[in-house]
Amino acid sequence: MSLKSFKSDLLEKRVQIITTDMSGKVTASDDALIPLKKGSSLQDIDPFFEAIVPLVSAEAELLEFPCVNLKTDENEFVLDIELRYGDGELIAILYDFSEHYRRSHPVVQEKNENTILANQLLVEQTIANEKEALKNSFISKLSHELRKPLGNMMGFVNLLKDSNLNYDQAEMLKIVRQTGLHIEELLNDLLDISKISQGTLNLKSVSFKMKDVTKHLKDMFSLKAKTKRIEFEVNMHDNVPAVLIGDPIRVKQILINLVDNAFKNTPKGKVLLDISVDYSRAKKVSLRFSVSDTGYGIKDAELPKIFDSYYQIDQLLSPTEGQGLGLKIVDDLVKLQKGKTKVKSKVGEGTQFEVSLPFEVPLRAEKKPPRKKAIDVDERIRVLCVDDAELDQMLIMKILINEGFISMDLALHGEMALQLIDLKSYDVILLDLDLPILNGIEFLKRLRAERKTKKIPVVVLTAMAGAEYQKEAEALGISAYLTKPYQPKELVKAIKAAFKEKEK
Amino acid sequence: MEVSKKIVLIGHFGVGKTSLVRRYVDSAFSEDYLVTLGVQVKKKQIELDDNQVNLIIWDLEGNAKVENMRSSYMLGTDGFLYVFDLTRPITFNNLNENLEFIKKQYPKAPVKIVGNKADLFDGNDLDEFLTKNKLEQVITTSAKEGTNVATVFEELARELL
Repeated sequence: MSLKSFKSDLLEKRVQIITTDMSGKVTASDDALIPLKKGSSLQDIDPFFEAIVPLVSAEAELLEFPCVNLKTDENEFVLDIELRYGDGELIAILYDFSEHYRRSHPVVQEKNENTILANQLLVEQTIANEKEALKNSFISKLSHELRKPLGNMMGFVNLLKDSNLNYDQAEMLKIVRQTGLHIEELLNDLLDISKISQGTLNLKSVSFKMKDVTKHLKDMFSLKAKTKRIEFEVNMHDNVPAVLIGDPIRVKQILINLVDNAFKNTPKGKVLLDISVDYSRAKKVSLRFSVSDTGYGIKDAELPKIFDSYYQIDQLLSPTEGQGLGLKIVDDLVKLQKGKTKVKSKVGEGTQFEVSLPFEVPLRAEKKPPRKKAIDVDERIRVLCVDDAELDQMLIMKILINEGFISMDLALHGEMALQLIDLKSYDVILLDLDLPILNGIEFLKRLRAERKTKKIPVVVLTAMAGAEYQKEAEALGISAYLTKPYQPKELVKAIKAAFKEKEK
Repeated sequence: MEVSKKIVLIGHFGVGKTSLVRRYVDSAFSEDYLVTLGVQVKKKQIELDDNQVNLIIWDLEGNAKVENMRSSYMLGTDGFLYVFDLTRPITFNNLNENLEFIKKQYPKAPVKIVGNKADLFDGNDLDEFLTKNKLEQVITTSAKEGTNVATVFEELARELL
């Protein structure tokens, strides 16, 4: 077959030429693709032509339409169509590219399906994030609301503890106190979870000794081990650097939660904390903390869920012993420190949690700054307490009286406090932030704006535990920010420190 | 009186343009997504206010940007249906930009905005969603359940008469 005849054969099979009058009525057709009856119109082939035929004119002499899907009684085509104007007639040229277009169809199909799937995943992620944000905001508000009455309760329980109680009363109060501490712990956990999720929990980077952390753990759990008759062992490998740089409070929090969880789930046997070096490179070291127990173990199906807060809350609300939010906190804190958490468990044999955390190692042991000589504090510090809640006022007053402070005035709001400051001198101001008439922040602004009062130390006592509130207050120059519930000794320490600062 | 009107459906891929046409013209629906390449044209004859109206419906392949669509497909368009998927924000995020382009290029052609897949929402949720996303002017449809499908085509057709 010659090239010419091959080409003409190919064109004959793949291209159809139709001529019509300007209304679309067929005058001639080679019927290569679509057989046309005599006297039929282009519009009879497919509605596609209905909107197109009227558009062809001497002015618009060539119209091109790629990839047109046409369906006739016998066939389905994907055509490129040209409509031309030629001396009062219309020429339609149909190019059959069905095979070409059909070959590209699966590629486009797959691409589109993948994109749609990715869009849906993004939407799901957005919804999950919104849900999480809502949950965190709820937790944060709830925690603030609960903190205030709890603070009052614990404050008076602490005062009552030091009063003259008989044995039975002291024992009962002990239970009330322990329950209160447990609620406080749960509230702190909830707040930490919400802070981590909101990205407002800042990690410290300070040098510390791992030995101090393990000592704290041993002290904390020795009584529990004795009571439950469980062996508690801490094993720190020799190559663990003595001094590390990291956040000891958060490391302690992770380990306390893991050990506490192990104790809760171990009726007999042993809880072991093993600390070893995962890897060490130049100034960096990764430590592996393994907490294993000989307890109930966790079913395989439950394992992927144990770090989920909703699962933890479910457990918390179950009639059996509450598991707390500890594991969720562990997972969040480990991730925040760019570490890893693993868990292995066998029902009836026990569970092993393994946490890897990166630290820096100081090149030389840092010298401790020389201890400053303790300054004697005049305990007749003149204190002004600005708080509108009667219970809070009473609590503060009792704590201070117990500590020997005898000079304290009360103001119910910022405005009243400013009037008192105008009349009398104070060494330290104890300030609640949530006040009527003039709130704590506005009061601080007015206080700092006056030359006479701008240096009076202020200790904030508040139920507002969010970092944003603290930041705002700190920007206005405060000596300490204590969140309710606080321990009496914390308050006293803060007042004394503020007073010392003033005396400098 | 008999008239023919060209309606073009535009919007992202996978929003349900072909499903709306199938539901309206053939009273059929399929859950399977089959991508449209190029253009597919269907016709529906309706009676509207004593007029015989031939709706020539051009179902175009999906495209995120109207300006990237083949301009020859738009020739002689009487009205547009801009379709998006209520469950995929990416299909309506650039709605205003696309509408602006259409209005500039085809100032005489009215545009109806159609939010499809309404069956995936509960009644109250949908109202809340439309308010939140400032989509109050949108007509919501479900090609799957047939909700508002004829309404949307016929409201546009009535505007074209």
